[in-house]
This record gives sequence, C-alpha cells and structure tokens, in this order.
Amino acid sequence: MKKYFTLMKCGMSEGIMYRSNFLTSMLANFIQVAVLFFVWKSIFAYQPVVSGYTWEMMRKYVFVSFLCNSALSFGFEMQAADKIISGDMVLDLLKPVSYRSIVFCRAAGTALIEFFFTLVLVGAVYLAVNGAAGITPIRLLLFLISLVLGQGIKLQIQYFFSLICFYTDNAYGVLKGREILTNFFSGALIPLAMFPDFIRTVIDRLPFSGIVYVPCSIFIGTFPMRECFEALFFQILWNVLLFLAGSIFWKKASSVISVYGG
Amino acid sequence: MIKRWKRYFVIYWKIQLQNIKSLEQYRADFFMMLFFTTLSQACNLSVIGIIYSNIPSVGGWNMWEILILYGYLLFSEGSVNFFFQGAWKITQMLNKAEIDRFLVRPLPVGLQLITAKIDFDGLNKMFLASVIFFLGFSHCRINWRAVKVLYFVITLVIACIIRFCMIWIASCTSFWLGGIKNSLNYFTLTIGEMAKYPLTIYPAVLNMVFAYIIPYAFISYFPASYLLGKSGCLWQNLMIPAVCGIMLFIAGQVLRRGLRRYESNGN
Amino acid sequence: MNHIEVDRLSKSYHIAKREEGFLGAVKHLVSPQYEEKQAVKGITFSIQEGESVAFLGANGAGKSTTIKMLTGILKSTSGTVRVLGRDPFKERMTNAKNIGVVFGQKTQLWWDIPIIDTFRLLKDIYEIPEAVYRKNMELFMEILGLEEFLQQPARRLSLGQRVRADMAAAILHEPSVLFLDEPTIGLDVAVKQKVYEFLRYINKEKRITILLTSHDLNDLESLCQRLIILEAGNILFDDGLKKIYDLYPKAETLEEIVIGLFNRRAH
Repeated sequence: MKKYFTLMKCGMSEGIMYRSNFLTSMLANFIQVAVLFFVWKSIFAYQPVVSGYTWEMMRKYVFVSFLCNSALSFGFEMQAADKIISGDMVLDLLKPVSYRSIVFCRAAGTALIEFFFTLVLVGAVYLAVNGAAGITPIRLLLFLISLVLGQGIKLQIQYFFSLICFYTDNAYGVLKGREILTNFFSGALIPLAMFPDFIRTVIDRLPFSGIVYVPCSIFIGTFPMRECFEALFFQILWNVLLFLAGSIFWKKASSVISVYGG
Repeated sequence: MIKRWKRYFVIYWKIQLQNIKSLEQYRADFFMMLFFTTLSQACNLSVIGIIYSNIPSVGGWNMWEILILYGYLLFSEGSVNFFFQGAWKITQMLNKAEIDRFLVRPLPVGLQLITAKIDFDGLNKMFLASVIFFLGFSHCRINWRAVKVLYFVITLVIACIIRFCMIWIASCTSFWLGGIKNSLNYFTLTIGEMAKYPLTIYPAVLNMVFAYIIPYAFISYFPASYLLGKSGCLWQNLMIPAVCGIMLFIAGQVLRRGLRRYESNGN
Repeated sequence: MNHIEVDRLSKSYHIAKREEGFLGAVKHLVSPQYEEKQAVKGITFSIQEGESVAFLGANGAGKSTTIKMLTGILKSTSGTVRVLGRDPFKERMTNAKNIGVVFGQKTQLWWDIPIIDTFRLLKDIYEIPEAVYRKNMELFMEILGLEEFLQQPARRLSLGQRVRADMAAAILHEPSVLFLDEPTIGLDVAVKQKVYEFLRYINKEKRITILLTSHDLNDLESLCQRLIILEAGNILFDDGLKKIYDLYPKAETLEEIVIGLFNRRAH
C-alpha cells in the first residue's frame, strides 16, 4: 500500500515541477471555455431560454465544466508518449509495480495539485460572478463524489488512449483527437441536454458524460435527486468497465511495444 | 538576388518531395491520423451544428457563414503542417543540436528549419477545409465576381503565411527561453479558437488583441466579412497584405537574432 | 596557402548563475548574474593544404569548441580564424561550400528516405556537376562499400553503415577541408579500418586537408601526421606524431600522455 502513496507523492511533486505544462493546459482549457462563454452570452442575449437553460444556469455550467476539465490535461499522456519514443518506458516496466498503477498513482498525485489550484481559483471567480445561490450542502457533497468518479473515468480513458500510442508514431495527433472527442461527448462544450435526440441515444451509452455533464448537472440542479443517484451509479459502473477494458487492452498492447533506438 | 531566391524555392520543393517520399515509412500512421483528424473535425463541426440547431444566429452570423471562418482557420493550420512543419519542431531541433548540421550547409538556416519535418495530417486538414468551404459557400448568397474569387485565393494564402509566422515566432522563443518543450506555440494555436466565431461577440478589449496583437482576425474574420458582404471592415481588409508583411518581417528578425544568440552561446 | 589559420583565438561563455526554485527564477529575471567560463584561451596554429591533423584532449579541453569555431557554428570571442582565407562565421554559406563535416554522434543524412536520395539532394544543395557526382558515387561505393545499403533509409542502418554513408555525404561536393568530430565512436574494428582507409585515400589522392577530434589513440596512429593536444583551453602540444612516441614510448592511454605533458610544462 505504501508504494502507491509514494507514487502519488511523486506525482504531486511532478505536478509542482511541471507547472508550466499545467499552466499551459489550463490556459488552453480556459480559452476554449472563454470562447463558449462569449458565444453563449451572445446567444442568450438573443433568446432567453435555450433547451431549458437560462443564461444564469449556463454561466454556472461553464465554470463547473472548466473545473472538471482542469486536471489531467494533455500533460501526462504526452509524457507517456514521449517516454515510449525515448525508450525510457522500459525502465517503468521493470519496476515491481504494475505499469498501470504507476501511471494512475502518479496521475492522481499530479491531479490533486492541479485540482486544488484550480478549485481555489475557479471557486473564487465563480462566487464573484454567480454568488452562492442555489448551492445546498447535500448537492455539494454529491457533486464532489461525482467529480471524483468523473475524474476516474477521464483518467482511465486517457490511459486507454495512451496505450494506443504504442501503435503509432504520431502520439500528438491521437491524443489531440482524444481531447476533442472527450470534450465533445462529455458535455464540456455544450450541455448534453441541447444535443439532438438521435445523438443523445448514442452518448448516453458512453462513459464520457460522466466526466463533465453529470457532475455539472448535479451541482447546478438540473438533475432531480433521483436522477443524481442514478447518474452516480452510472459513473461507478463505467469506472469498473473501463478498468476491465484497460486490463485487457494492456495485455495486448504490452506485447507490441516498439522500442525506438537512438 | 532573384536568382538566389529562385534557387531556394527550387531546393525547397526538392526537399519537400523527399519528405513526401518518407510517407512510405509511415503509412499506417497516415491512415490512423486520417481517422482521428476526420473524427475530431466532425466533433468540432457538430458543436457548431448543435449550437445552431437551437438558435439561428450567433453575433449576426448564420451557420454557413461561420463555416467560412472555420474553413480559413482549418486550411491555414493544415498548410503549416504540410508545408512548414519544421516551424513546430524548432525547440526539439535546438535541443538535439540539429542546428549545427544546418549551419555547415550552404543553405539558409531558415529554409532548412522549415523543411526539416512534414506532417501529412496537414493534407487531411486542408482537404476537409476545402469541403467546409464548399458547403459554406454553396449556402451563402455571394456574388462571385472575378475580384471576389481572386480576393478569396489571396486572403487564403495570406492566412497560411500569417499562421506560419505566428507559430514560427512562438517556436523561436526557445532560442532565448531554452527548455525541453515549447508551450507557446501550442498556446498560440489554441487562441485561434476564438477566431472561429465573429469578433463582435467579444468585448472590445479582446477585439483589439485579436486584431492587432495576435492577428487572428486578419486570418478569418476580416476576409470572411468582405466575402459575405458584411459591412464595416473595409480598411482592415486593405490592411491584410500589410499585416502579412509585418509578420514576415518579425519572423525573419526573430530567426536572425535567435541564431545570433545560438552562435554566441552554443547550447 | 594555409588552409587553416588560427590566431590568438578565444572563446568564453556567459553562463547564467541561477539559484534553485521559484525565487531563484524571479531573481534571475530581475537582476541576472553571469559567470564567465573560458573554453578556449587564445590558441594559435596553422594548417597547410593536405595535412591531416588530430585534435586530442579530454572532455572540456576545448576541442569541440575549437572545431565549432572553425566550421562557423560558433562565434569566437576574440582572435581570428581563417579557413581557406575566409572567416567561417562571417561568410558561413560560402565557406560551407568548401568544407565537409562529419559529426560522430549525429547524422547528416535524411532519416526516412533511402541514402541514395540523400545524395541526390546534396547534389542539388551543393550544386555538384553531374560528372563529378557520378565519379564520386562510384568511388564511394568501391571504397566504402555503400552499394549494399544504398536503397535503405538512414533509420534502418547500423551505426557502421551510417558512419560510412556520412563520410561519403561529407565529401560528395569535393571540399578542400574535412572536419570530423569523434567520427569513430562506437564503431567496431572492421568498420574503423574501412573509415581509416577512406580518409587516408582522400587525404593522399585528393589532397583534402583533414582535421579530426578524438579520444582514441588508434585514430591518431592510423591517420594523422600531426597532433595538437588541448588541455583546459590551451595548446599543450603541437607537433608531429613521431615526437609523441619519442617522448612517451610506453604510454598506452591519452591520459598518461596529457598528464606527462602537463607535468613537463609545469617544470
């Protein structure tokens, strides 16, 4: 058990060391969110209610969505991909801990730092812009649980994709694709409620919504209580499924590592 | 002088031809990227589609007009990937001291930097952008006189050049900042997100930034405005070639000074 | 004419003194502190046409710095350096046409295309006439045995094959001076022999001046008549190879010789 904590601590100090990486990702994330902020602003100036959302609700959604996406950004997948290319990955494979545990624990450590930082920042701005109206303690609690579960899903999806990088030279392209896909399906850019029905049926069967849309809806209040608990169950289920899928894929991928020489 | 530049132009293409040959080594990658890029662009476009399925206009622009903005951005991005990918990799080349190799050859270092890498994904992007342009234009009522066609082609080329200069300048900061990675060029790319929507939705301060500091507005918004017959951007449109010239000048200066620093300090 | 002339050449680096951590970074931004490190301390020597000279010295002795100044990669701090009558830094591209460089650990070849295509590109870059190109290619295939892997891309070659190809690439344009920086590092004995044979041939038959840096005494014995030993930025020894063996007939390693010379000088 201790080794996992050590790995996490390692991740935490990496989070502080690679803060420029983190800042860039955060800025990039911020810009995307800011763009949509202004887009929505101009939309809601034109039409006060869109798919059941008001500008007030949308503003809150934007903030929380930013928070959900703030940790576990591009950074650590690129590190993994770079390691493959440089051949350093072999060192990780020789350690007496499963490769996945190494990745997860370090990522968790880094994520904690990133989260803490963003939470403070976003929390302050949120309260300044939106005020504390509509936040009940029980929703807050459910939100935090949902947030953690959502990050679990995100981490596992990223792990999955980082394994895909074993098969290709263009890791950046794959990961960029992953980022765009995830942003789209998770509701980070547009609340899933606004999606047309035929897309909804597909998305609801995918894990992505658990990363942003679910925690956001719990927090803002667009989910009635019962739906909150159903959603939490959905997130737990996907965490398990992704864990299993990750194990299976790892077995296949680990035999395909192409080690690049000098 | 002209003879020299002509020679550089010919060599540029000769090197690029060889770069293209290298695709043979990366065929599987190419198809994988084709898949991912198409998927990514589909997602981006769906975002636009979904927004517009709820409301008819953003900042006074309808969906097809937004596609024109998107087309300029995607096409210029792809062009840098395919024609000037070296601009992205300057930091890595600095770290591996590949610049030394360039300095002992009788060619300008800038030319060698640009042609050092090629990214075939750029072709995908340019192709998709062309499709998007086609979709957008076919649904907009534009009076396509010869002037407008010429204008479109010129502004598209200039958009590619300005994009290239932005990435180039951002990457060249590594001459001074060092470091293993350059985040500034990725950051520059991300700021471009803002240019996907009409400038009018942003507060005045940001408008200033996008027009005069990070000139994305000259890549998409101003040219598209003219083509679509939107009023109020005439003199900015006339400024487009000037902006291009200024960016090229800055890019050249940055390289010269960066190289000077490199040659004084080693690495 | 002297092919290479070096007069009181010096190079000192400004190294930023930076403290650890965040505060250190801020301090450095506000009031940057530099310390000066002298890598080369006013050395003087000249090399005639057709000589083959070895630069020996421990790491940090100043060999690489000197070579970089001779090839135009690095700018000197003071003193003059002339290669074929030109300042290699000021007239970089003109000088580049007349020199060849082999970096032992980095390759000049394009990575993903067949070697033969690299040669064709070099032909265009150096503007080599067809007849000269053909003649040289035949020569290389004979002496260096390139034919077996001419169609392979550089990434697929073994180190030995790659170095041989690099040698050919450096001489293709018939330079007057050839610089080699640690060319035989990591090579096995058989390949080394081929390389020595090639270098001896071009030195004798084509009168190409050769300058190489090395850690390896074998290189010295096989190739060079003259030896320049650098230590801490100064020339410790500059004379014929025979002299060294007269002075230190029992020496087996470079270190022994250098220590011996150092002590001798101190007395």
